[in-house]
Amino acid sequence: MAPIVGKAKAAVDISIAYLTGIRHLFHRPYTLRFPQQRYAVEKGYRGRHLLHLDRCTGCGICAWICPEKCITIVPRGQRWYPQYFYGRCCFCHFCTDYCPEFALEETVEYDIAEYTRDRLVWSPERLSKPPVKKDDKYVFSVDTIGGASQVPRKEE
Amino acid sequence: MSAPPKPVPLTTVESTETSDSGAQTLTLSVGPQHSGSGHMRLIVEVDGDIIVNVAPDPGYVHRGIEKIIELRNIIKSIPVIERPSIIDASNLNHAWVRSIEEIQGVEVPRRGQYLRTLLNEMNRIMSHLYWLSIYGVFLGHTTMFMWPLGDRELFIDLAEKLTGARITYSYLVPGGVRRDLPPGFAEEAVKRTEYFEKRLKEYDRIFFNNPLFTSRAKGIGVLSKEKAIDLGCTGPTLRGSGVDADLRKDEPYAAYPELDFEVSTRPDGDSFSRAMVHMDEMRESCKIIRQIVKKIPAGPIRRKAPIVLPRGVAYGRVESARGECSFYLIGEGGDKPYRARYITGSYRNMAAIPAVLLGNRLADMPTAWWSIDYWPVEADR
Repeated sequence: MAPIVGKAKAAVDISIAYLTGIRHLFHRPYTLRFPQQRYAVEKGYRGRHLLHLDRCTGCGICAWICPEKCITIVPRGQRWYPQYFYGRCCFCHFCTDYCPEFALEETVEYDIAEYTRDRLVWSPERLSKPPVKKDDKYVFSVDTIGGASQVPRKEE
Repeated sequence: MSAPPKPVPLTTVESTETSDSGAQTLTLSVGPQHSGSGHMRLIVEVDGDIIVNVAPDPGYVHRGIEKIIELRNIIKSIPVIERPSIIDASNLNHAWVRSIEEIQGVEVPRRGQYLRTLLNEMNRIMSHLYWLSIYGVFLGHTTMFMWPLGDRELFIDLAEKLTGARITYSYLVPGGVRRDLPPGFAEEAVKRTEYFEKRLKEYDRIFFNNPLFTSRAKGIGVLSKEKAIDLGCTGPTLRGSGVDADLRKDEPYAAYPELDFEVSTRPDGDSFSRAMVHMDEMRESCKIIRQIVKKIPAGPIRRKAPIVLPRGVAYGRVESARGECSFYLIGEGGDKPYRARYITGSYRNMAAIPAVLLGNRLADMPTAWWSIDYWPVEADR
Protein backbone atom coordinates (compact mmCIF):
# COMPACT_ATOMS: atom_id res chain seq x y z
CA MET A 1 0.00 0.00 0.00
CA ALA A 2 2.72 2.43 1.02
CA PRO A 3 4.51 2.45 -2.36
CA ILE A 4 1.24 3.18 -4.17
CA VAL A 5 0.52 6.11 -1.84
CA GLY A 6 4.05 7.38 -2.35
CA LYS A 7 3.75 7.15 -6.13
CA ALA A 8 0.38 8.87 -6.12
CA LYS A 9 1.75 11.71 -4.00
CA ALA A 10 4.75 12.05 -6.34
CA ALA A 11 2.40 12.20 -9.34
CA VAL A 12 0.33 14.93 -7.67
CA ASP A 13 3.43 16.94 -6.69
CA ILE A 14 4.86 16.74 -10.20
CA SER A 15 1.52 17.82 -11.70
CA ILE A 16 1.41 20.80 -9.34
CA ALA A 17 4.98 21.73 -10.36
CA TYR A 18 4.07 21.62 -14.07
CA LEU A 19 0.87 23.62 -13.56
CA THR A 20 2.82 26.28 -11.60
CA GLY A 21 5.24 26.59 -14.49
CA ILE A 22 2.58 26.64 -17.20
CA ARG A 23 0.68 29.44 -15.44
CA HIS A 24 3.70 31.66 -15.93
CA LEU A 25 3.64 31.32 -19.70
CA PHE A 26 1.01 34.04 -19.72
CA HIS A 27 2.85 36.55 -17.54
CA ARG A 28 4.61 39.61 -18.86
CA PRO A 29 8.39 39.23 -19.25
CA TYR A 30 10.97 40.56 -16.77
CA THR A 31 13.41 41.49 -19.52
CA LEU A 32 13.80 44.37 -21.96
CA ARG A 33 14.97 44.48 -25.58
CA PHE A 34 17.69 46.88 -24.62
CA PRO A 35 18.61 49.26 -27.42
CA GLN A 36 14.96 49.72 -28.44
CA GLN A 37 13.48 49.62 -24.92
CA ARG A 38 15.58 51.52 -22.43
CA TYR A 39 15.58 51.15 -18.65
CA ALA A 40 15.04 54.39 -16.74
CA VAL A 41 17.11 54.79 -13.59
CA GLU A 42 16.01 56.96 -10.69
CA LYS A 43 17.55 60.31 -9.84
CA GLY A 44 20.54 59.64 -7.59
CA TYR A 45 21.75 56.72 -9.67
CA ARG A 46 25.53 56.54 -9.71
CA GLY A 47 26.12 56.88 -13.44
CA ARG A 48 28.83 58.93 -15.14
CA HIS A 49 30.02 62.13 -13.50
CA LEU A 50 29.04 65.71 -14.28
CA LEU A 51 31.74 68.31 -13.63
CA HIS A 52 30.85 71.92 -12.89
CA LEU A 53 33.85 73.78 -14.27
CA ASP A 54 32.96 77.02 -12.51
CA ARG A 55 33.01 75.37 -9.06
CA CYS A 56 36.07 73.14 -9.45
CA THR A 57 39.20 74.50 -7.82
CA GLY A 58 41.49 71.68 -8.98
CA CYS A 59 42.39 70.69 -5.43
CA GLY A 60 42.81 67.02 -6.39
CA ILE A 61 40.92 65.43 -3.48
CA CYS A 62 38.88 63.43 -6.02
CA ALA A 63 42.08 61.97 -7.47
CA TRP A 64 43.39 61.23 -3.96
CA ILE A 65 40.27 59.36 -2.77
CA CYS A 66 39.73 57.45 -6.05
CA PRO A 67 40.24 53.72 -5.26
CA GLU A 68 40.95 52.85 -8.89
CA LYS A 69 43.30 55.75 -9.69
CA CYS A 70 41.15 56.66 -12.70
CA ILE A 71 41.32 60.43 -12.14
CA THR A 72 44.17 62.58 -13.45
CA ILE A 73 44.36 66.31 -12.75
CA VAL A 74 45.10 68.07 -16.07
CA PRO A 75 45.92 71.76 -16.76
CA ARG A 76 43.57 74.01 -18.74
CA GLY A 77 45.14 77.46 -19.07
CA GLN A 78 45.66 78.83 -15.57
CA ARG A 79 43.45 76.17 -13.88
CA TRP A 80 43.46 72.45 -13.21
CA TYR A 81 40.58 70.00 -13.64
CA PRO A 82 40.01 66.25 -13.22
CA GLN A 83 40.05 63.96 -16.22
CA TYR A 84 38.38 60.51 -15.91
CA PHE A 85 39.40 57.24 -17.47
CA TYR A 86 36.18 55.21 -17.48
CA GLY A 87 38.00 52.01 -18.33
CA ARG A 88 39.02 51.91 -14.65
CA CYS A 89 36.17 53.68 -12.86
CA CYS A 90 34.10 51.45 -10.53
CA PHE A 91 31.40 54.11 -10.02
CA CYS A 92 31.76 54.19 -6.24
CA HIS A 93 31.38 58.00 -6.42
CA PHE A 94 33.62 58.63 -3.42
CA CYS A 95 34.97 61.54 -5.54
CA THR A 96 31.48 63.09 -5.56
CA ASP A 97 31.12 62.57 -1.80
CA TYR A 98 34.51 64.01 -0.94
CA CYS A 99 34.49 67.04 -3.29
CA PRO A 100 34.62 70.06 -0.95
CA GLU A 101 33.21 72.43 -3.58
CA PHE A 102 30.33 70.20 -4.80
CA ALA A 103 31.77 70.44 -8.30
CA LEU A 104 31.05 66.78 -9.09
CA GLU A 105 27.62 65.27 -9.43
CA GLU A 106 26.25 61.88 -10.38
CA THR A 107 24.07 61.60 -13.50
CA VAL A 108 21.59 59.03 -14.74
CA GLU A 109 23.62 58.33 -17.89
CA TYR A 110 24.64 54.66 -17.64
CA ASP A 111 25.58 53.47 -21.12
CA ILE A 112 28.96 55.00 -21.80
CA ALA A 113 30.52 52.09 -23.68
CA GLU A 114 32.83 53.04 -26.52
CA TYR A 115 34.42 51.25 -29.45
CA THR A 116 37.98 52.32 -28.68
CA ARG A 117 39.92 52.56 -25.46
CA ASP A 118 40.99 56.19 -25.90
CA ARG A 119 37.35 57.28 -26.19
CA LEU A 120 36.91 56.15 -22.57
CA VAL A 121 39.13 59.02 -21.42
CA TRP A 122 36.74 61.85 -20.59
CA SER A 123 38.30 65.30 -20.67
CA PRO A 124 37.02 68.02 -18.28
CA GLU A 125 35.15 69.66 -21.19
CA ARG A 126 33.35 66.43 -22.05
CA LEU A 127 32.54 65.78 -18.38
CA SER A 128 31.04 69.24 -18.02
CA LYS A 129 28.35 68.60 -20.65
CA PRO A 130 24.98 67.55 -19.20
CA PRO A 131 23.88 64.01 -20.11
CA VAL A 132 22.21 63.52 -23.49
CA LYS A 133 18.45 62.94 -23.20
CA LYS A 134 17.59 59.44 -24.34
CA ASP A 135 14.32 57.60 -24.43
CA ASP A 136 14.70 55.99 -20.98
CA LYS A 137 11.19 55.12 -19.95
CA TYR A 138 10.90 51.52 -18.69
CA VAL A 139 10.84 50.90 -14.95
CA PHE A 140 10.57 47.70 -12.93
CA SER A 141 7.17 47.54 -11.36
CA VAL A 142 5.39 45.10 -9.06
CA ASP A 143 1.72 44.63 -9.69
CA THR A 144 -0.18 42.33 -7.33
CA ILE A 145 -2.32 40.91 -10.15
CA GLY A 146 -0.04 40.95 -13.17
CA GLY A 147 3.17 40.09 -11.32
CA ALA A 148 6.47 41.93 -11.66
CA SER A 149 7.62 43.24 -15.03
CA GLN A 150 9.21 46.15 -16.83
CA VAL A 151 6.57 48.71 -17.74
CA PRO A 152 6.74 52.19 -19.30
CA ARG A 153 6.96 54.87 -16.63
CA LYS A 154 3.79 56.86 -15.96
CA GLU A 155 4.14 60.52 -16.91
CA GLU A 156 3.52 62.85 -13.99
CA MET B 1 40.67 18.64 3.63
CA SER B 2 42.16 15.32 4.59
CA ALA B 3 45.26 14.99 2.43
CA PRO B 4 47.10 17.55 0.31
CA PRO B 5 46.23 17.18 -3.40
CA LYS B 6 48.53 14.98 -5.40
CA PRO B 7 50.31 16.53 -8.40
CA VAL B 8 48.30 15.39 -11.41
CA PRO B 9 48.60 15.95 -15.18
CA LEU B 10 46.14 18.28 -16.88
CA THR B 11 43.76 15.79 -18.38
CA THR B 12 40.25 14.99 -17.28
CA VAL B 13 40.78 11.34 -16.55
CA GLU B 14 44.08 11.29 -14.79
CA SER B 15 45.13 7.92 -13.54
CA THR B 16 43.90 4.50 -12.70
CA GLU B 17 45.35 2.75 -9.72
CA THR B 18 44.56 -0.32 -7.69
CA SER B 19 43.35 0.19 -4.13
CA ASP B 20 44.16 -2.08 -1.19
CA SER B 21 40.99 -4.08 -1.71
CA GLY B 22 42.04 -4.84 -5.27
CA ALA B 23 39.37 -2.60 -6.74
CA GLN B 24 40.36 -0.06 -9.36
CA THR B 25 39.83 3.60 -8.52
CA LEU B 26 39.81 6.53 -10.88
CA THR B 27 40.95 10.07 -10.12
CA LEU B 28 38.86 12.80 -11.74
CA SER B 29 39.33 16.54 -11.95
CA VAL B 30 36.10 18.44 -11.45
CA GLY B 31 36.84 22.00 -12.53
CA PRO B 32 38.46 24.48 -12.57
CA GLN B 33 36.61 25.70 -15.68
CA HIS B 34 33.36 26.23 -13.80
CA SER B 35 31.93 22.87 -14.77
CA GLY B 36 29.72 22.86 -11.76
CA SER B 37 32.48 23.66 -9.31
CA GLY B 38 33.03 27.38 -9.53
CA HIS B 39 36.56 28.54 -10.23
CA MET B 40 38.15 25.79 -8.16
CA ARG B 41 39.01 22.18 -8.60
CA LEU B 42 37.86 19.13 -6.71
CA ILE B 43 40.13 16.15 -7.14
CA VAL B 44 37.70 13.28 -6.76
CA GLU B 45 38.71 9.64 -6.48
CA VAL B 46 35.93 7.23 -7.40
CA ASP B 47 35.55 3.50 -6.98
CA GLY B 48 32.94 2.58 -9.56
CA ASP B 49 30.75 5.62 -9.05
CA ILE B 50 31.22 5.86 -5.28
CA ILE B 51 33.38 8.77 -4.14
CA VAL B 52 36.19 7.44 -1.94
CA ASN B 53 38.41 10.51 -1.65
CA VAL B 54 37.99 14.24 -2.24
CA ALA B 55 40.67 16.93 -2.15
CA PRO B 56 39.58 20.52 -2.76
CA ASP B 57 42.14 22.50 -4.76
CA PRO B 58 41.30 26.19 -4.25
CA GLY B 59 43.32 29.27 -5.11
CA TYR B 60 42.50 29.85 -8.78
CA VAL B 61 40.89 33.21 -8.03
CA HIS B 62 43.19 34.39 -5.25
CA ARG B 63 43.72 38.14 -5.58
CA GLY B 64 45.73 39.00 -2.49
CA ILE B 65 43.07 41.28 -1.09
CA GLU B 66 44.55 41.26 2.42
CA LYS B 67 47.78 42.74 1.00
CA ILE B 68 45.92 45.25 -1.20
CA ILE B 69 44.11 46.52 1.92
CA GLU B 70 47.45 47.19 3.64
CA LEU B 71 48.47 49.52 0.79
CA ARG B 72 45.33 51.68 0.70
CA ASN B 73 43.55 53.95 3.11
CA ILE B 74 40.48 52.64 4.90
CA ILE B 75 37.96 54.32 2.57
CA LYS B 76 39.65 53.22 -0.65
CA SER B 77 39.57 49.64 0.62
CA ILE B 78 35.78 49.50 0.68
CA PRO B 79 35.24 48.73 -3.05
CA VAL B 80 38.02 46.11 -2.89
CA ILE B 81 36.50 44.35 0.12
CA GLU B 82 33.18 44.03 -1.70
CA ARG B 83 34.77 42.37 -4.71
CA PRO B 84 35.24 38.79 -3.37
CA SER B 85 31.50 38.36 -3.22
CA ILE B 86 29.69 41.09 -5.07
CA ILE B 87 26.39 39.27 -4.62
CA ASP B 88 26.80 39.71 -0.85
CA ALA B 89 28.71 43.00 -0.94
CA SER B 90 27.16 44.91 1.95
CA ASN B 91 27.60 42.12 4.51
CA LEU B 92 31.33 41.91 3.81
CA ASN B 93 31.54 45.69 3.92
CA HIS B 94 29.75 45.66 7.28
CA ALA B 95 32.43 43.48 8.89
CA TRP B 96 35.08 45.95 7.68
CA VAL B 97 33.38 49.11 8.98
CA ARG B 98 32.55 47.41 12.28
CA SER B 99 36.19 46.61 12.94
CA ILE B 100 37.26 50.15 12.01
CA GLU B 101 34.63 51.69 14.26
CA GLU B 102 35.78 49.50 17.14
CA ILE B 103 39.32 50.91 16.88
CA GLN B 104 38.18 54.50 16.26
CA GLY B 105 35.60 54.36 19.04
CA VAL B 106 32.92 55.84 16.78
CA GLU B 107 29.29 55.14 17.57
CA VAL B 108 26.89 54.89 14.63
CA PRO B 109 23.55 56.71 14.91
CA ARG B 110 20.52 54.45 15.25
CA ARG B 111 19.06 55.41 11.90
CA GLY B 112 22.37 54.52 10.30
CA GLN B 113 22.29 51.12 12.04
CA TYR B 114 18.79 50.44 10.71
CA LEU B 115 19.80 51.39 7.15
CA ARG B 116 22.80 49.08 7.38
CA THR B 117 20.58 46.23 8.53
CA LEU B 118 18.11 46.95 5.74
CA LEU B 119 20.73 46.64 3.02
CA ASN B 120 22.28 43.59 4.68
CA GLU B 121 18.99 41.71 4.66
CA MET B 122 18.26 42.68 1.05
CA ASN B 123 21.71 41.41 0.20
CA ARG B 124 21.11 38.15 2.04
CA ILE B 125 18.02 37.52 -0.09
CA MET B 126 19.91 38.38 -3.30
CA SER B 127 22.75 36.06 -2.39
CA HIS B 128 20.44 33.17 -1.51
CA LEU B 129 18.52 33.68 -4.76
CA TYR B 130 21.73 33.50 -6.73
CA TRP B 131 22.64 30.31 -4.87
CA LEU B 132 19.19 28.88 -5.59
CA SER B 133 19.38 29.61 -9.31
CA ILE B 134 22.72 27.82 -9.60
CA TYR B 135 21.34 24.94 -7.53
CA GLY B 136 18.44 24.66 -9.96
CA VAL B 137 20.63 24.52 -13.02
CA PHE B 138 22.97 22.00 -11.34
CA LEU B 139 20.01 19.69 -10.91
CA GLY B 140 18.82 20.22 -14.49
CA HIS B 141 15.83 22.34 -13.51
CA THR B 142 16.11 25.28 -15.91
CA THR B 143 13.00 27.06 -14.61
CA MET B 144 14.58 27.23 -11.17
CA PHE B 145 17.58 28.88 -12.83
CA MET B 146 15.48 31.58 -14.52
CA TRP B 147 13.05 32.47 -11.74
CA PRO B 148 15.40 33.34 -8.86
CA LEU B 149 17.69 35.31 -11.17
CA GLY B 150 14.63 37.23 -12.37
CA ASP B 151 13.30 37.79 -8.86
CA ARG B 152 16.66 39.16 -7.73
CA GLU B 153 15.66 42.20 -9.77
CA LEU B 154 13.01 43.00 -7.13
CA PHE B 155 15.72 43.67 -4.58
CA ILE B 156 18.44 44.89 -6.92
CA ASP B 157 16.05 47.60 -8.09
CA LEU B 158 15.20 48.43 -4.48
CA ALA B 159 18.89 48.64 -3.55
CA GLU B 160 19.46 50.88 -6.56
CA LYS B 161 16.87 53.31 -5.23
CA LEU B 162 18.53 53.28 -1.81
CA THR B 163 22.22 53.39 -2.69
CA GLY B 164 22.46 54.46 -6.34
CA ALA B 165 24.22 51.27 -7.42
CA ARG B 166 22.80 47.91 -8.39
CA ILE B 167 25.36 45.43 -7.07
CA THR B 168 28.48 46.98 -5.55
CA TYR B 169 27.08 49.58 -3.23
CA SER B 170 30.02 50.93 -1.17
CA TYR B 171 27.15 52.15 1.00
CA LEU B 172 28.51 51.47 4.47
CA VAL B 173 31.30 53.82 5.55
CA PRO B 174 32.93 54.25 8.96
CA GLY B 175 30.50 56.27 11.05
CA GLY B 176 27.30 55.34 9.26
CA VAL B 177 25.89 55.10 5.76
CA ARG B 178 26.15 57.36 2.73
CA ARG B 179 22.53 58.08 1.87
CA ASP B 180 19.17 58.34 3.53
CA LEU B 181 15.99 56.53 2.49
CA PRO B 182 14.49 57.97 -0.72
CA PRO B 183 10.82 59.06 -0.64
CA GLY B 184 8.35 56.24 -1.25
CA PHE B 185 10.85 53.54 -0.36
CA ALA B 186 8.88 52.04 2.54
CA GLU B 187 5.71 51.35 0.53
CA GLU B 188 7.72 49.89 -2.33
CA ALA B 189 9.69 47.63 0.05
CA VAL B 190 6.52 46.29 1.68
CA LYS B 191 4.90 45.66 -1.71
CA ARG B 192 7.93 43.85 -3.04
CA THR B 193 8.57 41.65 -0.01
CA GLU B 194 4.91 40.58 0.04
CA TYR B 195 5.06 39.76 -3.65
CA PHE B 196 8.32 37.89 -3.10
CA GLU B 197 6.78 35.76 -0.33
CA LYS B 198 4.12 34.67 -2.81
CA ARG B 199 6.88 33.76 -5.21
CA LEU B 200 8.58 31.68 -2.51
CA LYS B 201 5.41 29.59 -2.25
CA GLU B 202 5.64 29.02 -5.99
CA TYR B 203 9.28 27.98 -5.58
CA ASP B 204 8.08 25.39 -3.07
CA ARG B 205 5.50 24.07 -5.50
CA ILE B 206 7.77 23.90 -8.53
CA PHE B 207 11.03 22.83 -6.91
CA PHE B 208 11.16 22.08 -3.19
CA ASN B 209 8.08 19.83 -3.09
CA ASN B 210 8.91 18.37 -6.48
CA PRO B 211 9.93 14.68 -6.22
CA LEU B 212 12.56 15.36 -8.86
CA PHE B 213 14.34 17.45 -6.24
CA THR B 214 13.39 15.75 -2.97
CA SER B 215 14.39 12.28 -4.16
CA ARG B 216 17.82 13.66 -5.11
CA ALA B 217 18.39 15.75 -1.99
CA LYS B 218 16.93 13.91 1.01
CA GLY B 219 19.54 11.81 2.76
CA ILE B 220 22.31 12.94 0.40
CA GLY B 221 25.49 14.58 1.71
CA VAL B 222 24.74 14.13 5.40
CA LEU B 223 26.82 16.27 7.76
CA SER B 224 26.17 15.35 11.38
CA LYS B 225 25.89 17.96 14.11
CA GLU B 226 29.14 16.89 15.79
CA LYS B 227 31.05 16.79 12.51
CA ALA B 228 29.78 20.24 11.49
CA ILE B 229 30.99 21.70 14.79
CA ASP B 230 34.34 19.86 14.60
CA LEU B 231 35.01 21.12 11.07
CA GLY B 232 34.25 24.70 12.09
CA CYS B 233 31.37 25.17 9.67
CA THR B 234 29.30 28.30 9.83
CA GLY B 235 26.19 29.91 8.44
CA PRO B 236 23.44 27.91 6.71
CA THR B 237 25.70 24.84 6.56
CA LEU B 238 25.93 24.74 10.36
CA ARG B 239 22.27 25.54 10.89
CA GLY B 240 21.33 22.86 8.36
CA SER B 241 22.99 20.35 10.71
CA GLY B 242 20.78 21.40 13.60
CA VAL B 243 23.08 23.84 15.41
CA ASP B 244 21.37 27.01 16.52
CA ALA B 245 24.19 29.44 15.80
CA ASP B 246 23.59 32.83 14.25
CA LEU B 247 25.62 35.94 15.04
CA ARG B 248 22.55 38.09 14.56
CA LYS B 249 21.12 36.47 17.71
CA ASP B 250 24.25 35.31 19.53
CA GLU B 251 26.19 38.57 19.32
CA PRO B 252 23.60 41.11 18.13
CA TYR B 253 24.95 44.03 16.14
CA ALA B 254 23.48 46.98 14.21
CA ALA B 255 19.68 47.02 14.58
CA TYR B 256 19.20 43.27 15.12
CA PRO B 257 18.60 43.42 18.91
CA GLU B 258 15.48 45.50 18.28
CA LEU B 259 14.06 43.28 15.54
CA ASP B 260 11.92 40.20 15.87
CA PHE B 261 13.05 37.23 13.80
CA GLU B 262 13.79 33.56 14.19
CA VAL B 263 16.88 31.52 13.44
CA SER B 264 16.04 28.61 11.18
CA THR B 265 17.63 25.26 11.93
CA ARG B 266 16.98 21.83 10.44
CA PRO B 267 18.08 18.69 12.27
CA ASP B 268 18.83 16.25 9.44
CA GLY B 269 22.08 17.72 8.09
CA ASP B 270 21.44 16.54 4.53
CA SER B 271 21.32 18.58 1.31
CA PHE B 272 17.57 19.09 1.68
CA SER B 273 17.97 20.56 5.18
CA ARG B 274 20.63 23.00 4.04
CA ALA B 275 18.49 24.06 1.08
CA MET B 276 15.47 24.62 3.31
CA VAL B 277 17.52 26.73 5.72
CA HIS B 278 18.23 29.08 2.82
CA MET B 279 14.53 29.24 1.99
CA ASP B 280 13.56 29.95 5.62
CA GLU B 281 16.17 32.69 5.86
CA MET B 282 14.73 34.44 2.81
CA ARG B 283 11.29 34.43 4.48
CA GLU B 284 12.75 35.80 7.71
CA SER B 285 14.67 38.49 5.80
CA CYS B 286 11.42 39.66 4.20
CA LYS B 287 9.92 40.01 7.68
CA ILE B 288 12.98 41.93 8.90
CA ILE B 289 12.82 44.35 5.94
CA ARG B 290 9.17 45.13 6.66
CA GLN B 291 9.93 45.68 10.34
CA ILE B 292 12.81 48.02 9.53
CA VAL B 293 10.84 50.31 7.21
CA LYS B 294 8.11 50.45 9.85
CA LYS B 295 10.29 51.00 12.94
CA ILE B 296 13.16 53.08 11.53
CA PRO B 297 13.85 56.02 13.88
CA ALA B 298 14.42 59.59 12.76
CA GLY B 299 17.81 61.23 13.19
CA PRO B 300 21.21 61.48 11.56
CA ILE B 301 22.49 58.65 9.37
CA ARG B 302 26.21 59.26 9.77
CA ARG B 303 28.62 60.51 12.37
CA LYS B 304 31.93 62.09 11.50
CA ALA B 305 34.75 59.54 11.43
CA PRO B 306 38.29 60.51 10.42
CA ILE B 307 40.20 58.63 7.71
CA VAL B 308 42.67 57.57 10.38
CA LEU B 309 43.08 54.19 12.00
CA PRO B 310 44.45 54.79 15.51
CA ARG B 311 46.86 52.38 17.16
CA GLY B 312 44.91 49.34 18.31
CA VAL B 313 43.46 45.95 17.54
CA ALA B 314 39.89 45.07 16.67
CA TYR B 315 37.87 42.05 15.63
CA GLY B 316 34.68 42.83 13.74
CA ARG B 317 32.38 40.07 12.64
CA VAL B 318 28.97 39.80 11.06
CA GLU B 319 26.67 37.04 9.85
CA SER B 320 26.98 37.22 6.08
CA ALA B 321 24.83 35.19 3.70
CA ARG B 322 27.32 32.30 3.70
CA GLY B 323 28.25 32.40 7.35
CA GLU B 324 30.47 34.37 9.65
CA CYS B 325 32.62 37.00 7.96
CA SER B 326 35.27 38.62 10.12
CA PHE B 327 38.12 41.11 10.08
CA TYR B 328 41.04 41.08 12.48
CA LEU B 329 42.45 44.56 12.13
CA ILE B 330 45.63 46.11 13.50
CA GLY B 331 45.99 49.88 13.30
CA GLU B 332 49.27 51.77 13.66
CA GLY B 333 48.13 55.39 13.65
CA GLY B 334 48.16 56.11 9.91
CA ASP B 335 45.36 55.99 7.38
CA LYS B 336 46.21 52.41 6.40
CA PRO B 337 45.97 49.29 8.56
CA TYR B 338 49.15 47.48 9.55
CA ARG B 339 47.43 44.16 8.98
CA ALA B 340 43.91 43.08 8.08
CA ARG B 341 43.03 39.42 8.34
CA TYR B 342 39.94 38.73 6.28
CA ILE B 343 38.00 35.48 6.78
CA THR B 344 34.76 34.72 5.00
CA GLY B 345 32.02 32.15 5.40
CA SER B 346 32.98 30.12 2.33
CA TYR B 347 36.55 29.77 3.59
CA ARG B 348 35.30 28.27 6.85
CA ASN B 349 32.88 25.95 5.05
CA MET B 350 35.50 24.57 2.65
CA ALA B 351 36.40 21.91 5.23
CA ALA B 352 32.90 20.46 4.92
CA ILE B 353 33.22 19.68 1.19
CA PRO B 354 35.01 16.32 1.57
CA ALA B 355 32.80 15.43 4.56
CA VAL B 356 29.55 15.76 2.59
CA LEU B 357 30.85 14.08 -0.56
CA LEU B 358 32.58 10.96 0.78
CA GLY B 359 30.57 7.80 0.29
CA ASN B 360 28.09 9.37 -2.11
CA ARG B 361 27.68 8.59 -5.78
CA LEU B 362 29.36 10.84 -8.33
CA ALA B 363 25.95 11.77 -9.78
CA ASP B 364 24.92 13.12 -6.34
CA MET B 365 27.92 15.42 -6.21
CA PRO B 366 26.20 18.61 -7.50
CA THR B 367 23.34 18.20 -5.01
CA ALA B 368 25.60 17.63 -2.04
CA TRP B 369 28.34 20.11 -2.67
CA TRP B 370 26.38 23.11 -3.91
CA SER B 371 24.10 22.84 -0.87
CA ILE B 372 27.10 24.12 1.13
CA ASP B 373 26.90 27.38 -0.86
CA TYR B 374 30.65 27.54 -1.37
CA TRP B 375 31.70 30.63 -3.31
CA PRO B 376 35.28 30.14 -4.54
CA VAL B 377 36.07 33.82 -5.05
CA GLU B 378 35.00 34.61 -1.51
CA ALA B 379 37.05 31.74 -0.10
CA ASP B 380 40.21 32.55 -2.09
CA ARG B 381 39.98 36.33 -1.52
